[in-house]
Amino acid sequence: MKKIFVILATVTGFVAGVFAVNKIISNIDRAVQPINFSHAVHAGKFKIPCMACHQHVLTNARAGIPNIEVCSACHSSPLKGGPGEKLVYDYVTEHKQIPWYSIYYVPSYAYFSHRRHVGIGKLECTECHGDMASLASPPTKQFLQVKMSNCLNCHVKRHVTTDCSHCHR
Amino acid sequence: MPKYGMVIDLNKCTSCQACVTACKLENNVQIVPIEDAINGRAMFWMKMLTMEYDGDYPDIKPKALPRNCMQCDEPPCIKVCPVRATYKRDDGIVAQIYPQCIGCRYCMANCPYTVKVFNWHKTEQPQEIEKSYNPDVSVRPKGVVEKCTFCVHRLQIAQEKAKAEHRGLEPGDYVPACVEVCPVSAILFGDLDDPQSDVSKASRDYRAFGLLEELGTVPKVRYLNAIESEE
Amino acid sequence: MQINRRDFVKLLGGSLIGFTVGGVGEALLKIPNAVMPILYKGPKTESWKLTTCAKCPGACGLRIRLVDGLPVQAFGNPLSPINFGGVCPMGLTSVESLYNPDRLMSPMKKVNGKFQEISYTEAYGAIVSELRKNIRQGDEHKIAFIAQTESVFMANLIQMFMNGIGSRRLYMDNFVGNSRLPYQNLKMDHPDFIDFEHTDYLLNFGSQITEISESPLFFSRAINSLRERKGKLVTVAPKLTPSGFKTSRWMPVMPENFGDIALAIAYVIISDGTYDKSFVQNHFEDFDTFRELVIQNYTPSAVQARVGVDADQIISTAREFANASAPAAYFDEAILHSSNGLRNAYAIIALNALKGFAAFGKLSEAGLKGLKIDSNRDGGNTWNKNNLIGESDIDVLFIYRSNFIFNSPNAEDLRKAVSRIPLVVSFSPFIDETTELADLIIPDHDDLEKLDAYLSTTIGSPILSMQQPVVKSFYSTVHTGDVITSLIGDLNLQEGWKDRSYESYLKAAIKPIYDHGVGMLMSQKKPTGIEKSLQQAGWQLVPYSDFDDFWQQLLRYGGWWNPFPKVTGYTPEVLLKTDQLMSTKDKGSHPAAAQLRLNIFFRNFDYKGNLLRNPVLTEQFGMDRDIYYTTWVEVNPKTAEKLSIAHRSKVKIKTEKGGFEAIAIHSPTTMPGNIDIPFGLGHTADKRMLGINPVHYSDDVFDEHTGEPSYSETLVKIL
Repeated sequence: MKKIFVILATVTGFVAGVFAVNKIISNIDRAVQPINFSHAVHAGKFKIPCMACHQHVLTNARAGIPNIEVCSACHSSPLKGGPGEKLVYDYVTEHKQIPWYSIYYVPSYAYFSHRRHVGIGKLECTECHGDMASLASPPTKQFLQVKMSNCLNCHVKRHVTTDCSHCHR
Repeated sequence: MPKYGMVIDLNKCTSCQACVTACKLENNVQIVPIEDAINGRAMFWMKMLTMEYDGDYPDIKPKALPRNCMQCDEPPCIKVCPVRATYKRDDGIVAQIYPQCIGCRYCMANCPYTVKVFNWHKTEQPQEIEKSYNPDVSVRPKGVVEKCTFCVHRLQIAQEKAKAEHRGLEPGDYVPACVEVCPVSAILFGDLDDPQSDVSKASRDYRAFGLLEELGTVPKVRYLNAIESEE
Repeated sequence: MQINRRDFVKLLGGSLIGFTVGGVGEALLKIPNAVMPILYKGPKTESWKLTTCAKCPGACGLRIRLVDGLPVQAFGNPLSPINFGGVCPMGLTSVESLYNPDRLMSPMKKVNGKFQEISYTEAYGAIVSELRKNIRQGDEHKIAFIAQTESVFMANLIQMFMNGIGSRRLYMDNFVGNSRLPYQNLKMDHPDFIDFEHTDYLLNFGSQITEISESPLFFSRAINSLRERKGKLVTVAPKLTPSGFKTSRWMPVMPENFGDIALAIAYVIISDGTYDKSFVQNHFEDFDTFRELVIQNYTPSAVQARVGVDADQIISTAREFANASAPAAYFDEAILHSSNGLRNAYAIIALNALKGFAAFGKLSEAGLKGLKIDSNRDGGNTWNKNNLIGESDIDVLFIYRSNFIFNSPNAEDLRKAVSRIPLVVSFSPFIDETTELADLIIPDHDDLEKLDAYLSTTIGSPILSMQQPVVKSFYSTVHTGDVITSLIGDLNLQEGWKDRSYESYLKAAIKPIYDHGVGMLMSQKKPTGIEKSLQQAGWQLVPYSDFDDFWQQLLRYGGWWNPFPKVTGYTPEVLLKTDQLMSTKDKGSHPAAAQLRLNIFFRNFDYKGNLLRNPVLTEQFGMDRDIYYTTWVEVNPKTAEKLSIAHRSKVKIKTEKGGFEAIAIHSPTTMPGNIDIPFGLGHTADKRMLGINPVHYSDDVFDEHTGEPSYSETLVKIL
């Protein structure tokens, strides 16, 4: 009898360990961005539309994090901003790309196309990315986790294809 | 709903093997270690079979036969897959879903054409291969089965492009890599259900045959017999 | 339930161990993803650029797919009238060559037997000072150049350089030039193309026409259309390679006997009287002596005894040839690869003359005026690389992309000869077997990074295919054309060449096309209907305002051609003298009776030994035989039975130069008495290559006139 309980306890402990560490990992702060970019300032205060900086969202699969050319449209001269603004001005003048860390990452075996969803499907950016305009510092967690269950829930709800080979390649 | 099929004209094929290379490069197919290749585990989705024994020397009539997945209408492989990693789509393409595959290889055993290949190892690819991976296709992990998919990623992209331009999919929009690079246009591809398409007419040609038709797999890749000139 | 301490401890221990194992396992699996990769910033935007493949003489149009500005894949250019969108395996792996990690990244100098990186100025300076010294001392003749290029512009530039230096030691290995060597040696005009639209009978002497030839992809299509029109292809070759799979008749003949076959066919045509009498009367001066020679020595039964081909076959072929309205007997560079190759080519020219060169055409295009379309080996210059062995007074040797140590049987002698030379400069992008011997390397750009142009007439129209850089060069490589133009300028070898670059030279060389105003850019398929009339009347389908605009459009569309050229028939003066057809080599033994012979055949994966450096092609090399990374030999099943060689068994092959192991494959495409072995494996300079190089085990047999090696006259034993 004891043996069974010990085995059960081991298994329970194992499962508990997996879940606990999983929870911890998914909640730890992801890497710190090189510049404390504030969407609240850019998208909120100045009401810059998402597509002005994330320029490829209607035409490409990846929306793209803007490269330094996009930032230099406004930041090529020193503006009256915070400490982050000085940093971006330095990057612009040296024409160096800012080494942003990626929060959203779609693995290669799945095909997610922004053009399909935003351009053709006419989804709003906030549906998957949340209200970015309210964030004063860069996001550290995925708003809608990149998990197949999340994709499928929406597809089922909106009666879009759930055929495996349409997204897996 | 189109039904995609292919007709390969053996009369035109010159055995240049461009289709073999194009398929390998388009689909990021692994280069296996040397010992594995020598033992018959080289991964080629499109293989060139050479049959040299028709006729007596020196009047031999060798034939080269490019063989990819037959994309059967009654695929033996899907019947045995325990997890539905391979299945037949509505448009006739037999899909292969890599994240779903558990690597049991029942499908490989059941396929009479031996078109399925298996990723036995995760080999480090040569640098130049890694740098020139096709971004449209995933790189398979260890332990999954793969096979020719009629370049279904190209269909994904073509359908999206057509939708973005508010039009339907036109015949020339979607061609697999092998069809595109054949120097003599020996491979025809398209909708078998469209009676006007080239491929549909060719598949009903008197010279058309399918490999191992007697097994009842109804292959959608058919061949046109070579025309042997009279001596 | 009562739990005593022991049980409690056990339970606790068990669950803690489970927790730790699960947690650690989960962490190990998940933490790498938790640390975010730095974003690959590119939005993966796709763009396309047109260029031309330089891996073989075909010059097929390529369309390179770039993702975020970096090349990813290569496809064919559907608007190029050479390949119509098709590509061969060599062209498809152009991008793999670009990213090859073995590519040299900067000029190198050999110090104490090892290569060290140096700067371009240092390397260039060393060359200039050495050349200046030679010129000052009057030793210009001690400078030699071995080049292999398919671009006539590059070939002409090198010729200009050597002419300016004043040395005749130039060996230009250019496929089209080599194919025309027999005509040049006879001082005859050469044909520009075979008119595949009108040919109905093609007698192919030994050319691997759809694999390695002047334009493999164009010929593949042309032969298919020939057969659709119920024309015939007859192959005279020692092996039925894929080029001959569709042949109506295969006459298995060793290359040194091609001339015999041609003259036997001529015998039948002459005795039947079905030759073109008016042509022969007006243009074939030495015909009477020729007829005497043929009638006395080349009856089909005599040739059957000498060569082993059925006399009936010869007679049928000859009658078909004579009855055809536009027959062509075809040969190309491959015919020179036997001990009496040149003489065989003469015999085939004579055979064509009997039917008035009906299927051949000449471009009387004034639009070619000013364009030097011929490459070299003219002017009676017969210096070839074998001369290196005998001549010990060479100071400087330049090597441009020729891997001659790899594709010559006398490699050891050549190696010793080259090692004797004080300064050997190589322009190869890789350290291959020949470049290993160099003292100085200035690596050329990769094919996708350089600017060049290819001019040809094989398709029946003049066509200029442009090669442009699709990406800025990755490393500190230098375009060899720029090096040579700088040398010409700095050494003052030609007037007004100071500060010229290869681009300016190319522009000047291509300007006559712009000036003449005919033809069209490759912007669309061949025009029909109204567009055709407009085109012929001189309207430009893609207008350009000045030469710079033309140049931009030329690069944008990948090339220029004239779809409606003025063509004339090819009716040369046949200046062949009958004594030139005398064979000084008596190789008249029936092949099956003699000892086993090693016959080297080619595949469309490697061209002259400087291509098989990419892993995709190496793996694919033997795929259709189910053999990987190993050398194999092909044996006729009857021969195999006689020698008790089982299919796919390991055999030991022994030649005079040594022995090697290979796998034996039974194949009816091999002549009995031959051991066929593929060319291309066995690169010793590349650590990733396997197999053996059959050329290095071949006997030192050369064509007495051209010095080209024979690839089919090695005696071999099989154990």
